[in-house]
Amino acid sequence: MLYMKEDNNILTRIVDSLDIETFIACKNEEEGRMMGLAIMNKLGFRDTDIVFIEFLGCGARIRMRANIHKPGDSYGWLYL
Amino acid sequence: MDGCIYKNKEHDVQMKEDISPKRILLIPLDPVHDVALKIINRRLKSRGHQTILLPPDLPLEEIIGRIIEIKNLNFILVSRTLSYGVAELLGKFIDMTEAANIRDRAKIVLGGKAVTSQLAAELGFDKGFGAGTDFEEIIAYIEDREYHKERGELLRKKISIPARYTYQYSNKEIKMLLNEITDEIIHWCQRKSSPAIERAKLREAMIDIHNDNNFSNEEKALKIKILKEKYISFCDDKIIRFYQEGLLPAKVRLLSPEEIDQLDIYIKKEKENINFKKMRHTQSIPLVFVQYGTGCPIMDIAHIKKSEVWGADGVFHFDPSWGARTEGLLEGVLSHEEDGSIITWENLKKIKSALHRETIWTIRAHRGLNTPETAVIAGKLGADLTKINMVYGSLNGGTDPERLMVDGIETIKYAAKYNMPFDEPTNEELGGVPAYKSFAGMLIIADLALRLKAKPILKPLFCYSPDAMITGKMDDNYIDYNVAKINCLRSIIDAPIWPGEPIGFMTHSEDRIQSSLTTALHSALAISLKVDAITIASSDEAYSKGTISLASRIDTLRAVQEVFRFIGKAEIKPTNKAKEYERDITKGIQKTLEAVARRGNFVAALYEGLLGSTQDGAYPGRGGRNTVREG
Repeated sequence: MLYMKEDNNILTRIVDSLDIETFIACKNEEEGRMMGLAIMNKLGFRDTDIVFIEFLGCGARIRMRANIHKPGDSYGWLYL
Repeated sequence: MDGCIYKNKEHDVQMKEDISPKRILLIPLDPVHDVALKIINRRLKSRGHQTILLPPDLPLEEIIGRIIEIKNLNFILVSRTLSYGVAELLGKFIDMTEAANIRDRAKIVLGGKAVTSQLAAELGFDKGFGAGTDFEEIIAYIEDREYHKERGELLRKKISIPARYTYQYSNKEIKMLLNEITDEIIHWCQRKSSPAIERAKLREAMIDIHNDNNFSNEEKALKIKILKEKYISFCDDKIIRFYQEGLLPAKVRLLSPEEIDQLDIYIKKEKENINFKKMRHTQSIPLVFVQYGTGCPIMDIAHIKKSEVWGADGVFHFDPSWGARTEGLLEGVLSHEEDGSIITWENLKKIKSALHRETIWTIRAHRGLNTPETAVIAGKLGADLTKINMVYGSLNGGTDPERLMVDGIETIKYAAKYNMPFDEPTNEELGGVPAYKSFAGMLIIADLALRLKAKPILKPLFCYSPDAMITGKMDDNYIDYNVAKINCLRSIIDAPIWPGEPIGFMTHSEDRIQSSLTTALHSALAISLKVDAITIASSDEAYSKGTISLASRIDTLRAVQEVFRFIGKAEIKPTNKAKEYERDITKGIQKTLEAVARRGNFVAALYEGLLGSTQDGAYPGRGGRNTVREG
């Protein structure tokens, strides 16, 4: 995908990735991981990963990542 | 002093002639947080203004009464941290000034945490300043002059890391052993060459022709074509295919002319807008380095420019691992979809064009089949430093020891020729090699470098190494053993020390906070030990499934800046164990050097594990085996 100046997609301003940190109520780490990915999917991100998760007690502290521009891509922010 | 009017005459001289002294009332509405207002008061007085600082937390009615009493006020500065109900209080204050018919006597300014210009205007103030405002900005507003933000670039100057060292040995026994081993290595490598050495000579000649204005473009092209054909004869098939058929390796692509044009525009904009953060507080060292190598020069440049802005003193180029296993270098501005940015003249030239003039640039050359040629390109492009350690490169970097020794010696000569000091990483410790063995190897290469008129920089690891885990040396803390390493090296030779790579290796986790904190704590140890430089990881250091994000790069730069502020000139005190470890490491280095000297053949000692055995986790590499030739 080649982003040009007139592209209004605000996500093209993100240099590489978008991280979301939160706390998810879940039964175990695996469920937390699945829920994290499901949340990213629901937000419309396709290339996602869980960078960090720590389950304790009744939930997980989690950092989810959506890759917007990977090295070698055509970077939208370069054309601003 | 509260409430009294006075003028500090001695500061009158500081006032510009065209700025008239102002009469200013400072009102700390906050019950406790009036520090900022006190600082502003001091600065205003030092500029020759007349100020009245009221005590904190006076009732509004009393404040209004004071305003009525004071004649010829120009400004009223109100400070208050915003919290629940405070907006109403501030609004009431403005209402009361209007009711008392004094609102227009002076400009009323609001400052404090969470204050914004918009909020201040909504509440009826003339101006608002939030947290983090430069006091100079407020003073400029009062003096009705343009505010010039202090540019951080004035605070950072490129320095030579080895400049203040003599390279004199304090440990005479170790010096004698090193000299003996160096004699043997110099003798051993005479008349030996390799495909990499031949390519380096050809690359150097091609660059010289390219830069020679005595030749026409046609002459240059012809001469370079002849040299290129010879160059290709020393390359692997993968590289030959590129030069002969234009085929690039998998996951590699040439950046388009449009992308390169846009990159140039981006670089220009970044250079115009750059404004450095100050990294260090009251100490001038350690310099802070970060590694780049996202795979793409455009993304690398984005990382470099932001690292510069957030206070990094230097950056170093990290290339892909397959580059180290391939005979020959590609050409062009190339992007690579995996970790490590490809070394080509064009890629490095583009990156060089993006660097700030005070940024220290390191290109590592130490571990693969293109070691001397990389040093030539680095030298020709004006890199400040390079990286060479044949022991690590052959025991844990995958290159055959004989081949890398021959190439490494040539590379050290290039480093000397192009005035590039080089650091010697000892990352074999991460494989499990004990520190004393990796230090012995590092000191051998350092001594060899000194003989070849180069300037080595010792690079011990600040890490939680497998050896430390097994032997329990770091069971209590991460301080003692790292202190022992530094003090041991200092007791042997007066040479620069730059812990790496990165500091805190093996202590990072995927938790952003933990990762930044452990980097910061190791940098606290570094500043306490007054080492020359450190390499820091990003907070994505332990995240192995993707690329390092720019935000994670900034995480650790900020964390280190904060810890430098915290430590200042203070020192971290190790326990008595540090002395014990120091003695053990020194003894181990001496024993290792004795064994290598007894062996009488340094390269054989590498194969035989004297500087790290397979039991230790060191494996002599196979890349380039049987390619060294005499003559």
